[in-house]
Amino acid sequence: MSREYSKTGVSRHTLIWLFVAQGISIFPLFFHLPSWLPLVWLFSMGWRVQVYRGAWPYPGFLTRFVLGAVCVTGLFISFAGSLGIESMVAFLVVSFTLKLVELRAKKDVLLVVYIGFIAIAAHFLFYQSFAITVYSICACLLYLAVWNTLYRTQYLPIKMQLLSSARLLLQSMPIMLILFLVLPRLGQLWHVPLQKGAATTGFSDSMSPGDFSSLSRSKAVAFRVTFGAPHLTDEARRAEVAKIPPPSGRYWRALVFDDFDGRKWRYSKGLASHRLSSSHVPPSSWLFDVQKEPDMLEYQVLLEPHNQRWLFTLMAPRQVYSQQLKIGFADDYLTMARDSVMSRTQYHVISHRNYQAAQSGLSKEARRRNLLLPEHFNPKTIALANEWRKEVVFNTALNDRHIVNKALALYREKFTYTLQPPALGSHSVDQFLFGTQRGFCEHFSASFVVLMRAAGVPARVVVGYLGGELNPIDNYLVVRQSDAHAWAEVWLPDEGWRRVDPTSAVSPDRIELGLDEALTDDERALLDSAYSSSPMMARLQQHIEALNYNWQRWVLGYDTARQVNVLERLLGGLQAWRIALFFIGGCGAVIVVYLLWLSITARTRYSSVEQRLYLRFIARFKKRGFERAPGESPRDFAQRIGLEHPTWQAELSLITKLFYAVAYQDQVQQLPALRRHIRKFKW
Amino acid sequence: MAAITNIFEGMIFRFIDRRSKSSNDHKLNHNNLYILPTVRGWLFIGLTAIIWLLGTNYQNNLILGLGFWLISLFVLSILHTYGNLVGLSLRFKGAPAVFAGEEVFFHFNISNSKKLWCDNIELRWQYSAFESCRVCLSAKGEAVAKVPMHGDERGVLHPGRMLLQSYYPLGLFRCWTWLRWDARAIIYPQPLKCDLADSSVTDDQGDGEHPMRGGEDFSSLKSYQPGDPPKHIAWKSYARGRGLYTKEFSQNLSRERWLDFTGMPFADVEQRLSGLCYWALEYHREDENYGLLMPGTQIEPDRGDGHRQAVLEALALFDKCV
Repeated sequence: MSREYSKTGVSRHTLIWLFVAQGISIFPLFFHLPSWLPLVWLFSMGWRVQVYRGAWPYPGFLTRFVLGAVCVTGLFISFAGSLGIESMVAFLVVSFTLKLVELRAKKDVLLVVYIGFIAIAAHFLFYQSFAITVYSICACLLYLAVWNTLYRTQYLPIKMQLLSSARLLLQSMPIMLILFLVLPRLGQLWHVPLQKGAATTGFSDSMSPGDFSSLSRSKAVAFRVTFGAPHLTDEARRAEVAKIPPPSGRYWRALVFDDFDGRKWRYSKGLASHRLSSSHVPPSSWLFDVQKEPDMLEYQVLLEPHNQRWLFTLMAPRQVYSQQLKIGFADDYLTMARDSVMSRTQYHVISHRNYQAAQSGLSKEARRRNLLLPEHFNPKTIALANEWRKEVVFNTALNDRHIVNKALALYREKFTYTLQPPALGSHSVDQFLFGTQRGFCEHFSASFVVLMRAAGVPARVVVGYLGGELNPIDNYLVVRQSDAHAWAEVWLPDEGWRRVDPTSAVSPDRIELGLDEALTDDERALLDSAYSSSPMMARLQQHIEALNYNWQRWVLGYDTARQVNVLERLLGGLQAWRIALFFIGGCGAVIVVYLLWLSITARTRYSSVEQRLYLRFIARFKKRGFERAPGESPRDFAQRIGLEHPTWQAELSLITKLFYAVAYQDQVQQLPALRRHIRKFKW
Repeated sequence: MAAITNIFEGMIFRFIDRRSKSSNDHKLNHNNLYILPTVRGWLFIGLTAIIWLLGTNYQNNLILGLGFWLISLFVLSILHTYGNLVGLSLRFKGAPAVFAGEEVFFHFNISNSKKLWCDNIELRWQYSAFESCRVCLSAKGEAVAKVPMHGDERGVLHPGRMLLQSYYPLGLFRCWTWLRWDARAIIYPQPLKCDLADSSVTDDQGDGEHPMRGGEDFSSLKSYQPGDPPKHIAWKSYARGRGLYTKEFSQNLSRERWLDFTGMPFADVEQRLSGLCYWALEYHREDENYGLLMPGTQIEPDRGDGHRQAVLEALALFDKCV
């Protein structure tokens, strides 16, 4: 005999509430799990409905065993036996939905509710946006409602039950916020399986014609950048906006490609076994001269997971650090993470705004590597480059810079920047330079580097992102996949490594204004637009984008460092007593306020809702000359008025009956009906 | 083991009884309410621990946030469960007498002084096998709770301690109190059908020794008193405009019945009382005059509800200290 629940059986109301709550809580998970799982859910729900209708019995032990075995086997086949986070969640969902079939008593409902909260936690393994958080809070609200119905003696109308649960949810928010702010964040306690098959976004570790033009159609966010030191006040942050480099200075450098096989460009040192040096001191192979103008640029990058190791910085990085990642510098001015970036990561960079790569110091080996071209490819290009070389050799007034300028002049003269470049054959550079002459950034940078190498100037392709638009709401930069870019670096004897962007010679607009502005209207239609064309919608979208960014920075990225900072500002110090006082005081305040409220309402004179409704209703009779005599009961009053005014009789006696039901028979579920009838009373 | 539990329980109840005096009026407040997590409450803490581990291992602030919310819900649930009971006043209204073997319902008035709904309040006697009676109160509302108890034995039933508890709203906590009442209920003997010895019936035919009021022969008219049976009103004289009169009947005491304790065909006292009870009910049903002869007590023959109650109470309380 269970005394805990009002009734032991599971009622229709509880069942419906439970179906809705469960459906909403597992819906987002279905997108990441085998496609047959929704069928299991529908099947279990159908069976339980049949049990409720008395058509089918509860499944016996054997049926349950077979059902479970079939589902587990199905999971094993779907996941090919691998144990990842998806298979764990799938197992949870299967057991959670099959439980529906044998939902006999209220304690089973309670179990489903408890597991439901874990299912909601599983949402956040796959999604972390602000929107999904709101969705999950709604799911929590529904579970709270199911849970609450188990302990009620009567069933409330849907709206009242939801309101009562929402009150509980809101009242629990203050303590939750205090816990969230104060409780320490521990590191991983043990290694857990990560999400498998996370998509690789952005460019890959090689480049061939067409890669970037296809990337340019995606408006997905690659990373976001806030300038200035971390934890600035809003005012200081606004002042930082002036220091953001102009679009043409925002070359987010990621990777260099110095190995060309005639078709594909790669990084000769490979990426797998890269030795990283400390992230505070650039490695010895980095040579620059920064004495000229030591102007530092500080910024935080919030990187979307791209499943790669490289990170994006403005040249030339001096210090990098991150709470979440182990980061270091590598050769060729690269910044790398020790492991692939699998989740959203924030890192902090200090770069030199003005620098000069050291003039001397290109090793023999590096020079050879950056001059290497595949044999028997692109003969016409090599011939042209040799001509240019000869000019420089015969005229001592000219140097390598002359060759660079010649190439840029060539692009400026005849070439077209387009999203739809024609396909190229095996002598791709020859065909591009002397044939099609239409291309995207990868065509320009690749052909430029081939020209330079053929002319004896060490050169390499550099890839990353160029530009990024400023969000005016919160003054940060959004860099999207469509901003992916390839450019070149050449080694000039007196200047060291120099950035040269051949695309800028063809289409200065691409550099200054961004991709959208550089294209013709027809081509622009190929791009997904990031923002709506209507200015009001665009403004709204910018607000949403800003909300998401702040959500990620302040909620998802609330780590130990941020916690220290916030608590320091909030409490004026980090001593244990301050934190303890805040914690105990905060929770205590909530409890004291609640208890005070209880005792105050116990003292105040108060008429119940139905009483107020009824009295206000009766007052309207008075205006029409029908006054309730002192001591006349509502029933007598209704009878008397009914006799005097027969058109009101039926409705008035119904209202009186409803009032009695709510006030004296505890039928609170009649309250909405009472309210409705009073409102619709025809005078 | 059982002995230890008993000693422990005894200690707890001594503590509780010291804090709450026996009375017919109780108000629930922080002095007499106790609250502790239930088994499901502890399981819930386990659930939050699982979610916290998940959030920590995946370094996921949203999962941690969910865990913190559940903890906060747990804390809030203490307040709500306590708030469901605090401020209630209970008053004992009485317990209708029953026959042994039946259920006695003790009636209580519960009133809510808060501006809050109070749902699923359970009331039960400590030693009663009945399921709890459940009450729901609207804001500032009142309700009557009928708490059942088995009336096993003839006599006066003192119901003992009452358990009043609530798990509302989430079942994570149980808030309860033990209340002692000055309440008592009278349990009549269980009626037992038996033959009545002849000696207990005076069945003299002919003229009686003294006339008794009530009977079949009309004797006189008297002025109407409220409460006189309508069928005895002299309607004819009323119609003539002489005012309201009641016809008086008298009857020679032809059938004067005495329920005699010593005349019962049983040796056992309880059985004798049960037999007397049966016959008292029979005579009452037949609207006869009957009297009761008990060792040390005598009730003169009469009839009516008041007489019935007096007779049955005398039977119930025979040889029992009140």
